Amino acid sequence: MAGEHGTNRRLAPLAWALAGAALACVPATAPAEVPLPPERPSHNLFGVTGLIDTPTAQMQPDAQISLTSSYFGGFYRNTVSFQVLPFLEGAFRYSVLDEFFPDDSVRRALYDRSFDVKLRLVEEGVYWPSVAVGLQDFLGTGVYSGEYVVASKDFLGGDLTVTGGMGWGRFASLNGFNNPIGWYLDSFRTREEPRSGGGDVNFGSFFKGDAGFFGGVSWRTPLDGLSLKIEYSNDAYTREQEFSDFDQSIPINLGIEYRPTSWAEIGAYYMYGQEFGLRLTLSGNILDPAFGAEDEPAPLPVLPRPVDDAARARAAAELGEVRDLIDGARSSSFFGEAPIAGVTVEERLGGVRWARARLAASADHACPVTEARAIDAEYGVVDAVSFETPDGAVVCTLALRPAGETAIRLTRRAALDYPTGWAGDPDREAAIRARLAEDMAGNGVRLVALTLEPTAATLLIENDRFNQMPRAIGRAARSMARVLPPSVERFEIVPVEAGVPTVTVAFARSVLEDRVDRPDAAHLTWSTAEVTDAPRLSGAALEQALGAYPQLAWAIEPLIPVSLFDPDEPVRADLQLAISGSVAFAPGASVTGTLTKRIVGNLDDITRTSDSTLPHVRSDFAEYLDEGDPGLTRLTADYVTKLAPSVYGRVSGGLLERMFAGIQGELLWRPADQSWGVGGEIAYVRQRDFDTLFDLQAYDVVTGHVSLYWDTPFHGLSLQLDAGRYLAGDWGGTVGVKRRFSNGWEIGAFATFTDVSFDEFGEGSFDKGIYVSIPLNWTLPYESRSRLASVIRPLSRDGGQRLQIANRLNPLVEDLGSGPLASRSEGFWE
Amino acid sequence: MTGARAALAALLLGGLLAGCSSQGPTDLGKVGLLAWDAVAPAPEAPAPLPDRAALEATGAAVIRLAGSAGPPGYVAALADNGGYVTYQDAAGRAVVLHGAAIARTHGFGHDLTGLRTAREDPVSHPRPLIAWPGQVVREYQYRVKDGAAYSVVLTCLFERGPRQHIEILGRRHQVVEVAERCANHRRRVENRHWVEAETGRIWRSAQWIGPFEDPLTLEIVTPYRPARRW
Repeated sequence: MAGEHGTNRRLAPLAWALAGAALACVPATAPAEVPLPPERPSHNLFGVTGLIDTPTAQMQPDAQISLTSSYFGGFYRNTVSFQVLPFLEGAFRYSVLDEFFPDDSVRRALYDRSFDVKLRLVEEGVYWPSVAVGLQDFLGTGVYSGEYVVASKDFLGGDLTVTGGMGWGRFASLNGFNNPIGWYLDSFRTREEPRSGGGDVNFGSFFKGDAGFFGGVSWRTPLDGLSLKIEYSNDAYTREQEFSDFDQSIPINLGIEYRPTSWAEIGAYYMYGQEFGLRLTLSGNILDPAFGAEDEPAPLPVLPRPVDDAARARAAAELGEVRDLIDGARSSSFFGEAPIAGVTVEERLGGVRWARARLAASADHACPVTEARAIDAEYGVVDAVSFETPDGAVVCTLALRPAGETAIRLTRRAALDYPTGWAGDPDREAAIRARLAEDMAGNGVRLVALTLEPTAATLLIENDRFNQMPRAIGRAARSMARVLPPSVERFEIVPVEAGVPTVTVAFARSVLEDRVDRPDAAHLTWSTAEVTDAPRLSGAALEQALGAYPQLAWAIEPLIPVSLFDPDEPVRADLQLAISGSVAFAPGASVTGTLTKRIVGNLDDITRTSDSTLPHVRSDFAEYLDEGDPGLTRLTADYVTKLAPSVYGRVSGGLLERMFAGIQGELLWRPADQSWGVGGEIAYVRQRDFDTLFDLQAYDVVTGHVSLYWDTPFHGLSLQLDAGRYLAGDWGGTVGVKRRFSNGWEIGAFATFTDVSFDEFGEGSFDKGIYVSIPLNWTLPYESRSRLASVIRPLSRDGGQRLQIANRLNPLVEDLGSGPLASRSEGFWE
Repeated sequence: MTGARAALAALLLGGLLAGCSSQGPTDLGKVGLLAWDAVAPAPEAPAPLPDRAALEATGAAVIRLAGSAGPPGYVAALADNGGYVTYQDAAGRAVVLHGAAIARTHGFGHDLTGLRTAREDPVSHPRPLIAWPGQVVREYQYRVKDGAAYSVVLTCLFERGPRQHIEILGRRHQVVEVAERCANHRRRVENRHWVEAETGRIWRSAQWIGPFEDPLTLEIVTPYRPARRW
């Protein structure tokens, strides 16, 4: 009885595996292969999906990112567009409009930054077109502002696209007519001019004033890559014609476009009967890595545990001879004719239907294969059948379905009983630890600490190599399965980030052994993983971890800071050398410094002086660039720790960033099994001198925020809301949304609104920007955790500015919750 | 002397710009090394021809592995997980065989991450040639690097050729060459197997492993003999 109980207890955790295993055995019902996607539509001169100078309702493939440069009539437009969601396209544009101002003005060209969005309302069907609504230049100076509703329909298998739309603003500046919305709402009859400062959302103008029609046709010719376009555009280019030579003759544009490869497209156009135009678009997809291949060597294989004779005997007593009858054959005999005294059907291991058939006394006790099928036919779906003699001895067990086969395998596993005499012997445990560390080094992961129990092991790892943590966890699991004594059945793996244990990912060793190398191995293995918050580092684990300290690290590498959108010189850059070093004294406790030195560049040429009426917390950036070479951009003492299993803490002090020094504390509550978390930080800082060394200026401030982080279940979108006091002493909040892709790309946008008025803020009205972070291994054929991250702000002003801290807590753990880990787990066995 | 100093300074600067760290080359440094490898690849020496007698004496199961690029290599069986046998070489290439079917690859660039075969598939479940079915369906599994998993499902038809003799590292085998033509609505590929008719053992095969890799040719130099299973 005790043995029986023990068996069941051992089986219980394996039941999880069964559900996954049963899934694995479901015959493939997936389509043979995803059909080739249709050719993606082209961009227009504004850099959004469209015809020539007007948009269409078409969308790029999800996550497509494109850079378009175009020119005609003295207008340069450089646009980065991104398919934010399958039905939402966004674009940021930097335009140069020559001769926009009168001859006697300070400058003649307008350097304009603008944002567009286009939302698809209706997806194209067999009988109806796709329909989209869009806002052009909705968040800029309003020079290009216009709104539209547009419909597009494909014909000739997608080779011919016909588009028609109605627009407002720029889209109705020629041949406009009374706004139909104005028939019902008087306020829509007239349109307000954009605010002169620019930068705020032009709510007051949307869909107001006259309306106009636009449309056209795009034809993909039989010549590979060649398309022809014709469109009717209602954009009068009124302001542009006022001071320049550009003179619109007719509202018709003609174009010829060529796409030599999937990622490049060129177009030539005859615009408005007057000018020739050109366009070049380079395009790629975030979901399609630039380097699809990798040169990562094979991991070391999982070594299955040996099976001894005693275990075989125990399994044989429970199962008898085991046979596999999973061949789809049907019963050829009737149940009523079978020499069977009785059948009971039990549910085992989470739903497996297991029949126990007692053979009649007259039976010859040979394994009755045909009767097993007859039982299956008689009792409905039966996964496995065990035949017993009248006195209860099991003759044989037959697997009739894959679930039965897996249940038999798990039953055999439960019969294993490995010795545990090694446990508690410090020398043997140390030897195991040393072997495991060596094996893990071969698998690309570092052992921080290993604690052993007779049937369980907890392994803390550091992953400096793999972009996706589940892959590092998989490598560690392989090593554990190769090295740890056979009695260790439960593997707990704890990734350590910045010296802090993050989450515990637990697997049953049997599951690893049963799933490795099989179809759907990664998915089915990870589906059995338990992800929980890791406890604080303590006891033997802390003792082992401390043995690796102090740790010294250094790096010398190039740095290319870039300044964009300065009207005097829209692109400036430096090539700098960054020398960084850190000394870690204990887990989470370190001193880090970075010194930069310009080698060549022109960032120090910026002469822009701040006109801000707020404390100059950011707008004196030119002074820092000019005088801060060489510059000590960071010199901090940091301590990161866990205060509770799901509460992280950090204290940083010193030269926190290029412009501020001081002390900062941060707390984050982010449970592993929760999609949201809450954090808070507070800092007392003083502004650093422009020489970016050790001197400080007089300005000081207490700044801090509370933050809410939420990983929405919607297309990988993460939301961050911050509220608090900013560097200039202004109070307010920041809304940030970013899309996090499983391959590590992050792209998002943020906007900050504080008690600083739009006028007081100055040009741009409020702080806003775009955030992009690219995992380096997306672009290269080897594994790396490095990233290229950048925040693109149209302007650097003083309102709504936060400290730029390198080691905030949320980025440390946001990819280590159960959800993000699961979404990146396909590489577990790689 | 001034020129030498300038050259040394330029070299030092170049090295610094490529990046280095306490962990070895930085990412930029690695890119530089990769670029150097691409421009001036080190010649790959062919693996020395192993001695059959010595191989058999070790009891190791060894297969000869050849792609379209580079010299063939020899890989040894290192692990058997429920009939999925991992063959791996010191250079970090590995294939996992299920029967004679390549069920997984590692270290090839675009790796096969899984293979689902039917029980009647004679390549993964050996059976005498006379019992081979006319066609089978296979699901080849992959994933985009750090991205989503995807499958290629192919329907494969077998076509028997003549009996012939092949020689693998000095040993002759009488086999039947079987062409396996696999297709779906997007692609057509062909595998070839040299099968011992009576046992269904495949001594040599050329197998498709994915849309972005060349087929692999396997030859069983010394066959794998599984330990006693349950």
